[in-house]
Amino acid sequence: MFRTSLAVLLLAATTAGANAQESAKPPTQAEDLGSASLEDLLGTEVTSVSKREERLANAAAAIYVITQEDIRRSGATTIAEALRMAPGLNVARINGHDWAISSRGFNSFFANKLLVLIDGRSVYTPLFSGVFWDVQDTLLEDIYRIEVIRGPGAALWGANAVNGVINIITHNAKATQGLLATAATGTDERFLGGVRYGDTVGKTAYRAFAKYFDRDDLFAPGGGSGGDGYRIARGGFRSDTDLRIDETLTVTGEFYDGSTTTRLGVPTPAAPFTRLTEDDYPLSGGHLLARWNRRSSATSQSSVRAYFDRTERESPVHREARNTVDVEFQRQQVPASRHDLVWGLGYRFTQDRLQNSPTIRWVDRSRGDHLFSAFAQDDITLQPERLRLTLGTRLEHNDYTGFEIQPNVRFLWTPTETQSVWGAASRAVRTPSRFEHTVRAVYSAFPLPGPPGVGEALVVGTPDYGSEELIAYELGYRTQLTPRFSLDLASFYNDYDDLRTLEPGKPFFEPGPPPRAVTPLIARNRLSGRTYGAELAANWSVTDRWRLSFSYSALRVGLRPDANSRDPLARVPEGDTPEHQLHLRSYLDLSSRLSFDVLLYHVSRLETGNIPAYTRADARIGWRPSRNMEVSLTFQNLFDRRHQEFPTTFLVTPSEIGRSVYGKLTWRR
Amino acid sequence: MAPLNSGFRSRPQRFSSGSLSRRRLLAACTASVLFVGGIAAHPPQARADAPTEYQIKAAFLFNFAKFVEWPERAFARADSPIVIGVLGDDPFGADLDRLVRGKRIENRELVIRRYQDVDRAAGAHILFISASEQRRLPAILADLRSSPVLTVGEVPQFNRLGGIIQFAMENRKVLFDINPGAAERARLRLRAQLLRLARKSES
Repeated sequence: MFRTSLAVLLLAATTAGANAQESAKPPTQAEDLGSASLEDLLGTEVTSVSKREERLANAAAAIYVITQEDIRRSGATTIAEALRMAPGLNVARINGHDWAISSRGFNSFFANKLLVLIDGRSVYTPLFSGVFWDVQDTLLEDIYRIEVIRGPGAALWGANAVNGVINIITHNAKATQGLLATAATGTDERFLGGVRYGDTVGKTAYRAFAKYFDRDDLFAPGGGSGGDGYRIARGGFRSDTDLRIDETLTVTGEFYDGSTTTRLGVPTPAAPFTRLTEDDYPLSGGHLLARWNRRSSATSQSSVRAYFDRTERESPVHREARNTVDVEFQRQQVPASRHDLVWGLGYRFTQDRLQNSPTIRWVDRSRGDHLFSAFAQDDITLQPERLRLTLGTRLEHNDYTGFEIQPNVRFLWTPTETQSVWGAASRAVRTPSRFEHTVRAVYSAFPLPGPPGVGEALVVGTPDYGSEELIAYELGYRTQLTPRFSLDLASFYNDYDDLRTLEPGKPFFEPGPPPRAVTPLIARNRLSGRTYGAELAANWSVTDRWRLSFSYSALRVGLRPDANSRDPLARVPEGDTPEHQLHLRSYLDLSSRLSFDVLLYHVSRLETGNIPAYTRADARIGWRPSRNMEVSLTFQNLFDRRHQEFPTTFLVTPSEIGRSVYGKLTWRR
Repeated sequence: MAPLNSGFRSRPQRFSSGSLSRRRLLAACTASVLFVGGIAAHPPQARADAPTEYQIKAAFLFNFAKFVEWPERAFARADSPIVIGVLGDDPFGADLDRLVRGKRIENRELVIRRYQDVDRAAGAHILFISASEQRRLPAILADLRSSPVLTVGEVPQFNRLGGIIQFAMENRKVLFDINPGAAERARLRLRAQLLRLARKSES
C-alpha cells in the first residue's frame, strides 16, 4: 500500500513539473518593486507561496507552540513545568529536581526518544540519550517561545528526534532592552530571583542576565521531607549584531553552578542490600554559541552555527564531565519555481570523562565520539495555495552504528482557506548511548540461599547494541472554524523495531570482596512494538479578554518481545505513559491591569508502579499597578494535598508533590 | 547507492518476514525519494527571477503608507518617520528593509521595526501581524483597536477580528481586503483609491 502511495506521489510530482511550463505574464522584477504601484502589485504572479515561518502555523507536522505569554501566565518556574502545556507530551515530576518527559510514550527519567534544543544547541546527553532537566534553564522571561513537535523530526534534526523535538528559542537581544528584575518566594520556591539588562552599542544589541533559585524539598511518599531540593546560580548573555542589512551575528553564552540534594537507595552487596544515601552533589556547566546568518530574501538564507558546551555533574553513583563541539551549516534556497530547498551539513564531537563507582562502572573511562551529518529537504508546491509535498532525508555517520538514513515524506493539503489536512511517513532511529555500549551497572543486590550468599543483577552494555528504529505514519487536520475558534487534530501510528531489552545472561562468580553470584543483564535489541493515538487541541477566544485552551491526548502502547528474548520486564514501558491526558487552560483579563488564569491537567493512571490518576489545578493572579511593575500570586496543585507522578526508576527516587504557593514581583523599565 | 545501503545495519537475530519486507520497502522509499527529488530539481522551466510572495507583500506595506492619513498625534514631529512594524515571526528577511531604504513619503522617512511583544508594537504606524501570532490575535487586535495603527494581517478572518487590511492569495497573486469600520475606529483615513483596489471592502 505504501508503494502505491509513492507511485501517486511520483505522478503528482511529474504533473507539477508539467504545470510549471504554462506561460505566465512577464513578472514584475524583484528589484524594481519599490517603485511599483498598487495596480502593478495586484497583477504580479509570485514564484513561491511557501516560506519557513509560515510552516509553524501551517506545518505538515503535529506542532504546538508555547509562547512567552503562555509561560508567564502559567506560573511555571522551570522549562520542564512549562512543557506541561503542550498536548501529547507527558511531563511527570519525579522528585524535586528530576522530571520524566516524553512525547507519545516511553516515558522515564531515562526517556531517550526526544530531542531537545535550546537556540539550536542540543541538550540531550549521549550518556543515556536523555535529558537532565534539572540544568536545562535560562531566564524564563528571555524565552521567546517553545516549539514542540510530536512525532519524528529526524530528517531535519537528526537521530534521537524519534518521538519528538523540543525547540526552545530565546528572544532576540533587540526585544529585551532595558532593565528587568524579578524576585519570587513561596512554599516550594524558597527564593527565585533574576536581573537582566539590555542595551545597544552601535549595531549590536545585547543583554546580560543573572539568576538564582533555591527550591525546597518535596515530600517523601511515606511522609516527611523528600530530600530533593536544589539550587543553581546562572549567568549569561546574548548579543545580536546587524553586520549588514541582511547579515546578522548572534552570540550567546551561559554558565551555571549549583547543587542537588539527592536521596538514593544504592544497591550494596551486604545486608540490608540497599544503603540509603542523602547528600548534596555539585552540578556545573556552560556554553558559548555563535550563529551567523545571511538572509538575502524571504526564501534564501545561509547560516553557520557553532557551539562549545561543557557539563559536569555528580551523584552518589556517578561522576561525569563532558565537552561537546558542534558546527552546522544550513542553506535555504529556491532552486526553481515551486521549490523551497533547505540543506545542511553538520559535525559534532563529544568527549567525556567518567568516574567509576561501586554501582556504575564503565568499560572505558573516557571516550570521544564523532558525528557527521548531512540533510536535505525540498518543499514542493504541487498546486499553489492548495497542495504541498515535502521530501527530506538525513544521512548520518556515528561511531556506534555507522551510517544511518532517516527519510520522510509529508504533504499538506489546504482545500479551503481555513482548513488543512496533512500527513507524513517517516523513518527515524535512536542511536545507542554510551550506557548501552559500555556500562556495568549494579541494578540490584539480594541475598541468595546457598553460597556465596549474595546475588547481584548487573546491567551490561555491549558494542553489539544497535539502533532502535521507528517507522511512523501521521495524519492531521486543522481548522479555523470561526475567527475565534480553532481546532487541531493529530493522529499517529508508530511501528518500532529493535527496542531495548535487558537479557539475563549466564551467571558468573565474582570473587569480590565480597564474593557474589552475578547475573548479567545484557542490552539487546529484542523488542518490537506499536503505539497509536491522537491529540486534539482547541483554542477558543470566548471574548477579546477571555481565552480558553483545551487539549486531549490518547495513547496506546503494545510491545512484543522477540521469540528469543528472556527479559521478564520487556513490556514494562507499556505502562510508563498515561493513556489519557486532558488539559484546560483559561486566560482571563479582568481589566487591563488584572488577570486571572487557571490551568487544569488531568493525567490518567500509570500501570507501571500503579500510580493513580491525578488532577492538578494551578491558578495565577497577576496585577500590573503600573507599566513597570507586575505582582503575581501563583497557586499550584490546589486540589489534592499530595500526589506522586512517576514510579521509582533505576537509581531515581520519586517524591510526592504537594500544594504550593508563591508570590512574584517583576519590575522593568 | 552503496554507501546509503550500508546505513541499514545487518541484524543477525531477526529473520522474520515482516522485518525483511520492511527493509525492502524502506529501500524502495529511499530510492523513490531520491528519484522524485531528482525530477523535482529540474523542472522544465524555472522562473526564479519573479518576485516571491513576501517581496510583493513587502511592497504592499510600503505602498499602503501612501494611501493612509494618520491623525496628528501619531507623530511626534512634522518630520517623524513612518514606522512599519512586524509583530511576531518576520517572513520578509532583508527585503522589507531594502525596499524602504532611502525612500520618503511626504517628507517622512520610513523605518522598519520588529516586535516580539504587542506592548511595544503600538508605536508602529503600519503593523504587519505575522501568522505566528494567530492564537493571540483577538487580544492583540483588541489592544490596538483605538491606536492609530494600520494593522495588516494574512491569517484567514483577520478583518473579522477587527484587523484593517487582510492579504489573500488567489491564482498566485496577492490581493487585499479592507475593513473600513476598523480603520475609522483607529482614526485612520484611507484614500478612495485604496478602497477601490481592494478585493472586498466591508466592515
